[in-house]
Amino acid sequence: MLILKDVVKTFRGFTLRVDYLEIPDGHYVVVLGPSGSGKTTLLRLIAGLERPDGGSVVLDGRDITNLPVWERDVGIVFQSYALYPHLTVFDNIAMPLKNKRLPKPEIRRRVEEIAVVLNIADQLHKYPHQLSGGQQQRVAIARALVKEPKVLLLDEPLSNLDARLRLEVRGFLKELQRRLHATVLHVTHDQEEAMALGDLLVVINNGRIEQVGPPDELYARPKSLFVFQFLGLSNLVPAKLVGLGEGLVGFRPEDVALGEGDHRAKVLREEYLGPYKLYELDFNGVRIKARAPPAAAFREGDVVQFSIDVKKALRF
Amino acid sequence: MRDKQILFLALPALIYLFALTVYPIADNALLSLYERTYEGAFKWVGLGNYLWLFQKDPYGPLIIGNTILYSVATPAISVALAVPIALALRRLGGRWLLPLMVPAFIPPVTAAMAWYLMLNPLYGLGYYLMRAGLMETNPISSVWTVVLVDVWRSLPTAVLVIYSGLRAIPKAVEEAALADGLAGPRKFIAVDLPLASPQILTAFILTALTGFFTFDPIYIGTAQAGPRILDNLAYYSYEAFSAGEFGYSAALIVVMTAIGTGLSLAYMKAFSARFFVKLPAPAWMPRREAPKALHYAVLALDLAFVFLPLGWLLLMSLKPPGEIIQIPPSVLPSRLDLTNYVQALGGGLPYFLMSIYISAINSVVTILLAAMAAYQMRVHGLGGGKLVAYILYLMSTPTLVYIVPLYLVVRGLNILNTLWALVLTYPIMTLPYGIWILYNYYSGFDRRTEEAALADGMSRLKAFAKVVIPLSRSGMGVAGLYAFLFSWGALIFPLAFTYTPYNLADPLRFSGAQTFSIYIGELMSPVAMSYGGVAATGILSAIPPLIYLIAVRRNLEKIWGAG
Repeated sequence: MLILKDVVKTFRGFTLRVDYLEIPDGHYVVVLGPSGSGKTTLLRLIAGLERPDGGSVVLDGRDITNLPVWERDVGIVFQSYALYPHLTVFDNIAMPLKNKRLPKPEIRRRVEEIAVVLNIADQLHKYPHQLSGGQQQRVAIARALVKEPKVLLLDEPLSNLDARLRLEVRGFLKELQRRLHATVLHVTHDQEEAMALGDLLVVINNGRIEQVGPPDELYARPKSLFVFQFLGLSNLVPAKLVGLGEGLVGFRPEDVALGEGDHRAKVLREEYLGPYKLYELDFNGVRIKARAPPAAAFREGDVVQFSIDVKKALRF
Repeated sequence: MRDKQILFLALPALIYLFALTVYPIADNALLSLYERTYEGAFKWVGLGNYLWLFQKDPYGPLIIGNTILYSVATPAISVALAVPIALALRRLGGRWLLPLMVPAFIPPVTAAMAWYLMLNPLYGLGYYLMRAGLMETNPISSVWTVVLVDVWRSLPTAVLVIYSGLRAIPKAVEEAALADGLAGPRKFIAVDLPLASPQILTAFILTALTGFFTFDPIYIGTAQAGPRILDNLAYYSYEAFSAGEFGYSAALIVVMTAIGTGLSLAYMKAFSARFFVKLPAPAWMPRREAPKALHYAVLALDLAFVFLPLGWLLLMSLKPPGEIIQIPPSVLPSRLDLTNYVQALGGGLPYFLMSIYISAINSVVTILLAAMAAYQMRVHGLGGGKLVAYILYLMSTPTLVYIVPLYLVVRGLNILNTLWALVLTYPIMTLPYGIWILYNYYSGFDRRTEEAALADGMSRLKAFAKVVIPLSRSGMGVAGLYAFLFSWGALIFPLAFTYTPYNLADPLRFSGAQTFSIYIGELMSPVAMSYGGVAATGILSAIPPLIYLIAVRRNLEKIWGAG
């Protein structure tokens, strides 16, 4: 189990502050936040590429706060993969083991084993520039995993892949984690990716952790307006408009039923998205989004009635 | 889009370059098969000149030995020193690069002269070195002094190239190395050195070219030590040329051209290589980072190496004449005295004027022609990779190669010993550099700017003059710096094509065209013994390029990637 306690890191006027964060074993944990939120700094603190100004990082009961990177039992996969261009795939993967002074036969055995797991056993003699982007990433993952780390850190692992490959690699990463029962910490700014992959999400904003929990919990019961708006599509209207008292009320487009109900709004725009349609409406001067079946036939300019599932509505 | 105006803009530079480089290279080969008789006629001797060099010339073994020494020792020492310096720069920040680059901006003649004055065993620091037993042979007549001066001149280039190679290693790879347990010296061996190996090789070849074609230190050294002792092929071929043995000189030059071309080809290969040397990093190598103090010490030693001869030169130039030639030599002047400067400016005025004329004219000509050609080459792909390769080749070919055929051309045009001889020939040494610098500069240039101007109804010529040129100022500034530098410090062309100082009695005829670099050589001879005057001349000669350097410092740092 990885625990961060009272960790503080300040640089260039930005402060990351983690009072307490626990990464349980065997989970796929996704750290999610907009750019500049401090999520990469969090990963680098765990990796040891940055030292915190205060607080401690504890891995399985061992304080690793001030250990050098290579003594921490963590594996890192960099966004750009960061393979050694002058070494073969085999030598890339073997590098961490060589520096642990393991005997040669054991190095060979472990490299070949991990290469099989990552399906690159036939690429071991090649150089990185001879591989595709996806293959390079697998080499980077193999290099991180070969030393059997307690935690695998992935820094925006899908951002350098094209859209089609991204879905494929997403599935691969999750399957790999399940197969090895590994503890994975995956950093991303893409909320869809985060929800699809994470057993546990850590939403971070402005250097502070907003909420930690499984994706369905964060989606349905966000503790803050930021989490509500960052995960999925959202509507936010003054509570008065829907007869719920003072303050603001938030609800998802799928909790809006178009066609009948107590409220009225004007259709501004229709988006046909295949399995469903998304409508943008003018509701007493506030723009809201509503989801409808693909057969819905409201026209731009129409005034439609609608209702909101009040049970799922959130107050802010 | 093929367009006559594209070719038209690039044409002046290309015609000039091809005419004045291809013809001399070919003519050398032809001339080398002839011997000039006592009466001045050319007589066919076949391979006789070559046989003479390798079999009969009594100086042959010495010349060849010296040449090999210069072209191996200079790169070996330069690169060995440059690697730790580049490491220190990476650790401590690129702002230290500018002072370390100073030797590259001092005219080579001045650099050589400063070292010879400092090492002088009677009137320089050499006196104390010899007395302390740190130096045993007389440095004036040692070939190692030539190597020393060449290391001093070429070290900045080696440092710059290797430093840029180290900086090009992605930060993520360095961090991955940390994660894999590579740090300190172990990471240096396993990651830094292999990944910078193409640049290290490039630096080696560039400094080897400096050593192979070295001329100015021998010119100055010979004025002190006497003939033949220090000669290499380059200097010996010039001596043969000035003795009128055009055939033999051409044969020596053909030999050098062949070897130089081999080095240039190797340079181009290394320059574009994707090949890395692999090194084993045994696990017993330490992972502790070298302490910062060590890096500072390396930097301090290099700064001392750079500024020691210049500091000595400055002190000397300010001494009263009586204190310059005294044993034991004084280090500090007893009082500041400007007599030397008065002498330098008095006797040196015609030389300085001529140097200023030709440097100004040639810088402007080079910038304009180079911009016109480089833009079309980069943006419109004119000439393709072959033309770029030829430009690179010319950059690594020294001007010595052209002197014999061009001398005959200049003499034929009846402009020998005039400003016009220099105007005609100087772009050969500056144009390739200018084109190369601007060619790289234009890689970041948005061609839509020109297309927008065409869409607004300008012709291509007008668009170039009104839109492209004004937007190229920073690149042209740097190209201009190098053009000025080479013109200002040039030695071989003025030696070959002029023989009297600028005639101030009839200034508008611009006849008599010796430059200050020749003046320095004349003052250095033991007959003249005008060490104070020569020191002052040296200081004066270093000022214009250093002013220019500081003026375009920011653009240079952009090109060096030091900012």
